[in-house]
Amino acid sequence: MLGMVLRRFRDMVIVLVLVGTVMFFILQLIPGSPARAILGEYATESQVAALEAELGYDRPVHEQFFDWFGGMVTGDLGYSTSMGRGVTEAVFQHLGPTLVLALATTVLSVAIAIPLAMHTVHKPDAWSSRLLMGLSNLGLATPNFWLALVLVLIFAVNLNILPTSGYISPLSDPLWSVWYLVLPVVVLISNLLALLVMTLRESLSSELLSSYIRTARAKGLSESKVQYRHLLRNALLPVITVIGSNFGTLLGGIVIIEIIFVIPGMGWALNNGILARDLPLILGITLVSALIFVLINLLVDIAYGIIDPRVRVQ
Amino acid sequence: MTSQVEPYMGRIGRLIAGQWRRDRALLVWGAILIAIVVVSLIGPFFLQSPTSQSPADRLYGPSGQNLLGTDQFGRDILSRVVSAGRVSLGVGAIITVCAVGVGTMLGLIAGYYRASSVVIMRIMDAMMSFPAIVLAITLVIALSSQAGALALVIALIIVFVPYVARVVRSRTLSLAERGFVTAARGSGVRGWKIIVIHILPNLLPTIMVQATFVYAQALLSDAALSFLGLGVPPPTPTWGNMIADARNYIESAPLFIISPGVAIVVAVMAFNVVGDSLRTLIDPRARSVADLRAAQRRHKIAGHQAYVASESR
Repeated sequence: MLGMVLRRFRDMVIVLVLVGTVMFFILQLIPGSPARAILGEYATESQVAALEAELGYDRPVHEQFFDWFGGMVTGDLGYSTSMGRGVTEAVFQHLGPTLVLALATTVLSVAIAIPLAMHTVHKPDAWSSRLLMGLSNLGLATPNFWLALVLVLIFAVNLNILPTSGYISPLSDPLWSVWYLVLPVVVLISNLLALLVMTLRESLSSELLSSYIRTARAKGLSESKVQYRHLLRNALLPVITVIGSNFGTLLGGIVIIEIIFVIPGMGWALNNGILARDLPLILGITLVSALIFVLINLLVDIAYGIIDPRVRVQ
Repeated sequence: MTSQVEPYMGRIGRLIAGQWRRDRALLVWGAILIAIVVVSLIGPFFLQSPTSQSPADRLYGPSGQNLLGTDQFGRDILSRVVSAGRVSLGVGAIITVCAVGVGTMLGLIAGYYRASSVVIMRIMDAMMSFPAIVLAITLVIALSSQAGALALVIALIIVFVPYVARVVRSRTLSLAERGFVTAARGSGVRGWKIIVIHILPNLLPTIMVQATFVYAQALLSDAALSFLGLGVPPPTPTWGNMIADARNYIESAPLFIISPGVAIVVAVMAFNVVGDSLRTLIDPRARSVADLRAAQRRHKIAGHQAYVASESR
């Protein structure tokens, strides 16, 4: 178990170094000078050149790279010109809303997906199960930025019961924050919930054929005990994997939702960084989102090892 | 002549009938998919020009002349949705063909030459370790100065290659262990020839299924990037940039924002469902399960014992 964790940790470091290096050089292709973006189009050439020299953008690329790389290893991701502070600090300031959205979406999706999937397995031919499977297909096919706008049209513009955009931190005002979180989270759930219902249905129905279910029934356990104690426990494993591997998609969805609903998270910061040609900020955000993604998947693997002893043996 | 054609038609008829009993989703959604492609290919010839403006008729509701109303420049929304389909489906097709091609090649190499797998799959892992849309956004912005409108296509190809490569590699790994590959190697066939002649044909069904999923994802990502203003620039309509346009007129012209979105949903769903059904069709084990299920449905066997596990995802 410890060996696996260490091995995964080593792989994680390799991946992050690769991501950082590749992204650094890709971003060098971005046209336009960061100094020009800061000073505006009326600044003279010499002003731009002076600011470039001050920020270090006039040095050779490899020198900039080693400088940035050295900083990254020690946790210093450089200076964000558009935010006016260190990138590490800026990223951590915008991490909160993104994590709130990710956590709320994941927890709610799992909580709703379990009873729904159990129902479709119990009564595969009922009209409600068919409707659920149809809705799941629909959920997987709906672009979330469009769904967001349609829901805004219905609930914020026409019915006027929910705000069109904005964000309040759950820490400062838990009640009002829910008010603002409803639409973004509903949009994000529509995708993940559909995926989870489908995954869980597949794994539940294949576990249902196992002999331990027959044994449990033969022992005279009540059907609900068989379902929740024996079946669900084993069928939940693939769900954990799906949550891990789908976390990137979720983060991507959050980026777009943050831009639409003007939520000051990492996606919103990324959008600002792109508009301002703030290379260190863009680099920092991509690297931190990669770090979160890899960490989540490491946790998933560890959780898997704890829950399912069979994995540990391999 | 008829004697030659009839048995053939009969065979196709039986095939379709069998498929209908087994899983009608493939036939229904396959037909919808074909309809979407045909309409976007020939539709623009029968409709008004998607770019001809008439500012006096802006943001009209549906009428006999404009079935879905008009947009902010008085352009016909129906004809814009249809020609946007041509652009979006075309962009999706290019992305799918290239991503599947490159991904298959890399997956074959990584699966057959184990040593190369360390390098190739590490790079693929790194590419898959951050949100696809974030990678795509950064790539589009980085490439747009050199590649222009092609930037989106290149970026999405790069994004989707790892997903194909991973699946192809894992299939190749198991195929490379099979007897016929060992036999070929034993009789002196060289490496690349084994890959092309013996392994690749066995992968084609897997690749085709993978292609439908990449296509669906490409449509969604293309729409998202166009929505952010990073796709094909106006006045050429795409489903994504139409939604971005409609965003400002969400109150006055609801059909303007609903129509392109519905088009995306139907197209993506068609690709997803067809891909899913194809996967069932090419996997003999999954197919027999589906047959059993259909039989049970006909005989109306109820209760827990009647439920047969479907194919695992």
